[in-house]
Amino acid sequence: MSEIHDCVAAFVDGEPIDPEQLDRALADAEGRAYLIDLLVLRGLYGRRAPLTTIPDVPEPPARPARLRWVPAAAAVVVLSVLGGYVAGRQSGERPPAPDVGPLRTQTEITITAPAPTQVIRLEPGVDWRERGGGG
Amino acid sequence: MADADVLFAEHRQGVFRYLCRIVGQTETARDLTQEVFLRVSRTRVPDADPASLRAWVFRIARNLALNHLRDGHRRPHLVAAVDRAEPAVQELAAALNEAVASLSEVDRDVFLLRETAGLNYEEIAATCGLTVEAVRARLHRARQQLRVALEGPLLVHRRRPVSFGEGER
Repeated sequence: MSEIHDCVAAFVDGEPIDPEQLDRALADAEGRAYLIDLLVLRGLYGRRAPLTTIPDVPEPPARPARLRWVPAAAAVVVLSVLGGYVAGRQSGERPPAPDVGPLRTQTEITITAPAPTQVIRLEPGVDWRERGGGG
Repeated sequence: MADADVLFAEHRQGVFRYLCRIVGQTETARDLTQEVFLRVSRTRVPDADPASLRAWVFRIARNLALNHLRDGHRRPHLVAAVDRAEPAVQELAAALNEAVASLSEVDRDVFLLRETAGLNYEEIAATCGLTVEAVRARLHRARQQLRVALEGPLLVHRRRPVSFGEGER
């Protein structure tokens, strides 16, 4: 390794250098070419070259798109069930029935027949005749 | 003495970038980065200066990466250096990826620790178990090899604007 390369590399790398030595190195065409090449290499491969960086906080894993609606649908179902339950309870609460005493069925009621206004008497052989054959 | 949370906050991006380049996959690098700091959190953090702690964290990262590769995980394509850049830059980035992959394991490690993680020579030496002079020599060799491999594309890019300011940590 030549003194020129050594000095230019130390300069580019931020290491201690002798200014007079750097002056001599940069007075040389090879020293200048080396300086430029190192800077080009650094621009392409150094810390400024873009790379994916690490996030400070780990990101939660992304859900598949088709599963994203599931929580919303589940919430709608739960709300619907709860709403239906509450509405059902409210509509099912009726006011207490008035006290009308014990109910009686129709068979328990005594019905008396009205008194006849006309009596018709029919006598066999006079008003009708029996016929054989039983047809 | 720094605790694991401080080390995580300070070095996670550097560790991640380094591991990305070593294993070649962002997802694997992410997993390994978590493993690095899991180990850091389970271990008693050494009572040392920031540079030594930095080297300590990267030594853990390097060992995990090398174990991962030696466990039969094939080295995949390196992460694209430039994704949305113009085609010429993408082409050069792809060529650079290939050229870096062709470096020897230690030379590549030294180069990546310097360029992607921003470690200084002393920290790289502590991470890789080398002397500072060996780091300097390996870094120079790696860069020269890359220059030769990318001679044509680099000539084109010498005429493009370059940005300074990579010295910050």
